[in-house]
Amino acid sequence: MTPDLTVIAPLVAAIGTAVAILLVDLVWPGRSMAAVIVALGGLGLTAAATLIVGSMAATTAYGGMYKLDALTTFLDLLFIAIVAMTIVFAPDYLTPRGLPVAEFATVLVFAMCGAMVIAASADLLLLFIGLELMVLPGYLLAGYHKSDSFSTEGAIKYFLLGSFSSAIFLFGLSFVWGLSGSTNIAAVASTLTTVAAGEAPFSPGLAMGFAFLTTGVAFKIAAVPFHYWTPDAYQGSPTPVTGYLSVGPKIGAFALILRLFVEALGPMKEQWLPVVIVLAATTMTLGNLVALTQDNVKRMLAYSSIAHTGYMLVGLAAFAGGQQRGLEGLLFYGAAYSFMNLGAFAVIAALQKRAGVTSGLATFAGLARREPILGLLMALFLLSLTGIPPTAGFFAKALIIVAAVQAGGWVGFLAVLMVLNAAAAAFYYLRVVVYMYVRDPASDAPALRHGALLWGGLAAATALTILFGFFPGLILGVIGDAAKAIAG
Amino acid sequence: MIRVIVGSMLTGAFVVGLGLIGLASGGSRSLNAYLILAGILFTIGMFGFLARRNAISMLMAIELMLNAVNLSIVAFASFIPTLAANGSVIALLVMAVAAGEATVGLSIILAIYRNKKTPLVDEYDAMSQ
Repeated sequence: MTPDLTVIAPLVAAIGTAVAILLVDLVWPGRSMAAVIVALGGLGLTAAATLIVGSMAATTAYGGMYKLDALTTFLDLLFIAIVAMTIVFAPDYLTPRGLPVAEFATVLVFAMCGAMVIAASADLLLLFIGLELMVLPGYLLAGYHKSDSFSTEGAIKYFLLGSFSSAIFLFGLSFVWGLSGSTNIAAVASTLTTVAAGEAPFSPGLAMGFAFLTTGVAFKIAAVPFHYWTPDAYQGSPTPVTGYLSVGPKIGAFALILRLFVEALGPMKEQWLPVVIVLAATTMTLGNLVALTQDNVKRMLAYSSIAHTGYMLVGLAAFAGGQQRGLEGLLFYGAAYSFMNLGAFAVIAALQKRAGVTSGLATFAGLARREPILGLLMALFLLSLTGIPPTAGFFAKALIIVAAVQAGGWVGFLAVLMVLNAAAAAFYYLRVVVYMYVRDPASDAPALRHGALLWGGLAAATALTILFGFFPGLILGVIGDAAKAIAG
Repeated sequence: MIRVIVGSMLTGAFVVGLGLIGLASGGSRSLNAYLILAGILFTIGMFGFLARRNAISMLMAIELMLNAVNLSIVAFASFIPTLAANGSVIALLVMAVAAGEATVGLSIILAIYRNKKTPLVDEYDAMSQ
C-alpha cells in the first residue's frame, strides 16, 4: 500500500462503515439492532485504524494537503466516541416514533467523516470541504422527524443561518488565500509571519478576509452575537440529534479553529486576540444569563452549550496570550464537555421514550423516586457541567482558568469572568437536580424499561466523566502532544 | 422594515469599503475591478438574505453569495501566478458544494412546507417565547 493510502485508512474505514450500514438495511430493512451492531463494529475498526496510523510518525500526504499528527489522532478518536455514543442511545427515542435507525446512523457516520477531514487538513480548501461534509448531514439530522413541525422548523433555521455563515466563511477564505498566494496552511502561515514582522504590508483585503473568517467561524461555534439559530435548532431537533449537534459540530468547528486560527493565522495572533476576548466574554455571560430563565431543559442546555463555547474560547485566548496550556485546556474541555453533555441528553432521550413526554422541567419532577438510576446519572452529568469536583467538568474548567490567569492582562480578566459565570450557571443546573430530588412526581406512570444499549452508552459516558475527573493524567499526555503538534 | 434598513446600510458600507480597498491596495488595477464586482455581488446576496421572507428566495441569495466567492477565486487564480494551477479546481469544488447545499436546503424547505403550508420564514415561530 502506498503511504498516501495508509494515512487515510481511518477515513476509508469510516466511509466503509456508513456504506455497510446502508447495505445491511437494504438486506434486512427496518432491523435497527442489526444496523447498530454494524455501526458499532465499523466504528471500532475505524478507531483501531486511527490508533495504528496514529502510532506512526507525523506525516503529510496527497501533496501536502492531508496531515497526520497527534492532534489528528486525538480529535478522530473523540469524534468516533461521540458518534458511537449517539448511535447507542438514539434507538430508545427513534423507535417509538417510527423513525428509522439505520439512516440515522449512516448520516451520522458521514458527518463524522467530514469532522475527520477537518482534523486532518493541511490545506484551506480541504478545510472548507471538511466543514461542509460535516454540517450538511447535520442539517438533515435536525429535520430528521420530518412530520414534526418543531423538528423541521429547527432544521430550516439551522440550514439557512448555517449556509449563510458558510458563504461568509468562504468569502474570507478566498481573500486570505488570494492575498497570501497559497492554499497550503504552512505556506499561508509563513507569508503571514512576514506580514506580522512588518516586512510585507497588512493589506485591507487581508483584514477583511480575517473579519469574514472570524464571523463565519463564530456562527459555527454559536458564539454571541452569532448564536440566534442555536436555541431553536437544538430545541426542535429530535433529542439524540440535539445531543450530537451540541457536541459533534461544535468540537468539529473548534478543530477548524485550531487548524485555521492557531496554525495558519497563528503568526497574526496579536491581531485576533482582542476579538476572541470580546467574543468569549459576551458568549459565556449572555449564554448563562439567558439559560437562567429557561423552563425547557433542552432549550436550557442549548443556552448552556453557548456558555461552554465561551469557556473554550477563553482557552483559545490564553493560547494567543502566550500560554500553550490554553490549548491543552481547550482540548481537555472539548473531550470532557462531549461526554457529560451527551450523557445529559441520553437521559432526556431515555425519558422521552414514552411518546408525548416533553423536555419541560416538569418531566424531571420526582425523577429520583420514579427512576432512581437515571436521576442519579442526570445529577452527575449536571454537577459535572457545573464544574463541581471530582468530575471531568471541574478539571476542564480548572485547566482553562489556570492558563488564563498565567496569560495575564485582559485574558486574566476573562478568568475572573469565567469563575463568576460558573457560579451563576450552578443555579440553573442545580434547579433541575432540585426538581428531581425534592419535588413530587407529576404523574404516577410506571417506570419505563430501557434497552441494554442505552445503559451501555450511559455507563460509558458516566465512566469517562468520572475517570477524567479523578485521573485527568490519563489523557493529559495525549493532549499535550496534540497541542504541541500545532503550537510548535 | 428594520431588516431592509440594516440591509441597505450593509450594502452601502460594503460597496464603499470595497471601493476603498480597490483604491488603497497597490496591486493590479484590473484584479481590483473583479474583486470589487465580487464584493458587490456578495453584498447583494447578503442583502437578499436579510431582506427576503421567502425561504426559497433566501436560498437563492445564498447561492448568489457563493457565486460571488467563485468570481473572486477565479479572479485571484488568473492574476496570481502561484494560484493559477488550482484556482479552477477550487471553483469547481465550490460549485459542487453549492449544489449539495441547494439539494439539502430544498428538501428541508419541502418538508417544512408540508407541515406549515407556507414558505414564509416569519411564520416559523412556534418555538420563540
